[in-house]
Amino acid sequence: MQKQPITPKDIINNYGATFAFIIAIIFFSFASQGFFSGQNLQNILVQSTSLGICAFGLTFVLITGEIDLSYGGVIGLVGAVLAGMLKDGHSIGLVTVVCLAIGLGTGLLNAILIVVLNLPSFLASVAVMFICMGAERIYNQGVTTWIRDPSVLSIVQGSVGPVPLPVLYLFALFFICWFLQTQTKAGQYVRALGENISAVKEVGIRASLLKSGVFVFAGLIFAFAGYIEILRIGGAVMYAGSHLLLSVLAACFLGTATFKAGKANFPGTLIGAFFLYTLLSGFTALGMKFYLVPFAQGLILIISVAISSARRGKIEQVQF
Amino acid sequence: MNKSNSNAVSTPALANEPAEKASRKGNRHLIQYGIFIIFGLYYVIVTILRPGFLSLGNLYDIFIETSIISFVSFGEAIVIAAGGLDLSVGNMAGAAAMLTCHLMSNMGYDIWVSIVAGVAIGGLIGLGNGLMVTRLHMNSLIATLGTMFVLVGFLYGITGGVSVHIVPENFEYLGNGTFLNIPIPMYIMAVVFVLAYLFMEKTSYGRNITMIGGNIEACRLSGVNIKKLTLMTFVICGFLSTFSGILLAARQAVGNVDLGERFLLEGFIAAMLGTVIFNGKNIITGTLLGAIFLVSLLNGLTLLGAGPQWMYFAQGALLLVAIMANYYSKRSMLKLPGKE
Repeated sequence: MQKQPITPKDIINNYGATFAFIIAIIFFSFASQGFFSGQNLQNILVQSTSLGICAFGLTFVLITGEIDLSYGGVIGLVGAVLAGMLKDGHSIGLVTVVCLAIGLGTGLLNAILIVVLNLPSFLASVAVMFICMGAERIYNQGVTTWIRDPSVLSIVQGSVGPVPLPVLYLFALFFICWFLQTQTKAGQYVRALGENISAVKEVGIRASLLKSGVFVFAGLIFAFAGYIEILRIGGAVMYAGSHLLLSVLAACFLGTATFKAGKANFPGTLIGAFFLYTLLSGFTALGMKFYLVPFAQGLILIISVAISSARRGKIEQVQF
Repeated sequence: MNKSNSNAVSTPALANEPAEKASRKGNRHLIQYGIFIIFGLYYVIVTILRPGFLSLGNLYDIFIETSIISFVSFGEAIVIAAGGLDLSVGNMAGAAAMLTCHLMSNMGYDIWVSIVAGVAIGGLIGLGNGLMVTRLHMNSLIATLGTMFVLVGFLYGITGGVSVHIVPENFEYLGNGTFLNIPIPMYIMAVVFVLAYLFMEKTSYGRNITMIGGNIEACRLSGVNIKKLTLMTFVICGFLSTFSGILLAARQAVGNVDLGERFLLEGFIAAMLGTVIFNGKNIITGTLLGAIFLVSLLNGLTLLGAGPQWMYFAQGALLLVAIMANYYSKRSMLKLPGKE
């Protein structure tokens, strides 16, 4: 096929949010004194780690053409179990294994509901989210549990040289996800699942197994995100997951407007996560009212997604 | 799946098709009536354990709660019928309630002017949602997610996050008053229910909206104005959500910023149950029943002494039941062998 010449419109369609991100950084750097300092940029990176990690899990699921909102509950449940078990005097090794097992379990539950029982993923994962929130509330009795052991906290709050550890985790996981999805055969099949599932089946790939695998992997990532989030805060706050619910979704959808128009991708998600926290930090540095932050975040989400979906040409329906 | 396998499955299915059809029909009825049977049993159990469940006071509570969430549920059901989804309903309700309370109590405007302003803002936001979906071709999930964020900013911005204590007592009457011993919200619900029912079942608009959700390609080919109707569903949903928000503010006599948050989930579950109960037909009546089921489920659990943690379990389980029923009844109706 002959390559189409690239028009300015294509560039805006494909990289709209990237430009907006760069413009935002330039604007904040000029408008406020402290914004473009090493310390502030490092803060933005550290703050966006749990959101970014969680968003990688969701991106993987979005690539298959499904959606998984269960992280809204999984993060909170993992946090509650993490803080509770540490308080009861269990070793951090055991606790880590249990936390990851929770992610594995919820991922499997999602896979059973969505792949085996064929339920629509949006609703099934919301139901799993509520079940996890209920379990969290039953486990911690609605009490915030703080983690005091400095050796445990240093897993996340420490740093290697000048680089804070959470940022290292974020980029490591980004690289793993990006590598798995773009550089391995299975990862390419995962993308193909989202593009044309019947074609994938015709070629003889075991689509349901692959899709189940993606849900389980995403569950593991969500659990890891919860683990990082709680250790970064230093305590299990109630419903930690529901605070992240919408921001994670927003980061992924901003990502679809960053590199590949209309398609979820890992570099886009990473930029999306940074973008949301850049806005938060920039607005705070300018001394704006706190409620202008969600206002601006919403507007930018709408504008960037609108640009990348305007050329679709027909109404998208939500499948139940 | 390999080829010989799929042949082996399809041949016997063709051979005894009438029998299978009958069993599918049976399945459908089982799902439909199953929900009634489950809730019937639940009511019996709750009544035996806590006779107060059927007391007049408690029934009033259930029906007032039902009327308050019914508006948002009707709106969400109409949007879902056309194949969309509106995540911003909760914040639209909250924004309308905050605006109305602020205009009325802090700025001293007349009650009716304030209410009209609150309802109008819902219609405007609904129009915005609809335009994003129909003109910019955004997925309704993302478009309304964006609106949700914007509205959070808006509804905190009205008063800077401060709750408004409602001054005029006439306004509280809307939420707490009774006329002929029947609470005012129930009258409003009855009127809206009848109008929504007539709109969805007896006008060509409503029939076509249902058809868009069923098969958008067929609609396109038969010349239905898909854009206009989809836009209409979002505007209606915007208007109706504000009713829920304003009435809840009137009932609790205070307007606070997180007042609308509960409506997203409750409206969604009720609307989802509503599309299942009569098999995708008569969604307005179904949604009303769904709202009653949801409210009475939570009310019964509270009477049984269940803490808030069990409410999440209950809502999650109810949602799962609704979507399973929805999926399997649709599958038996269209004779689809599943997603595979």
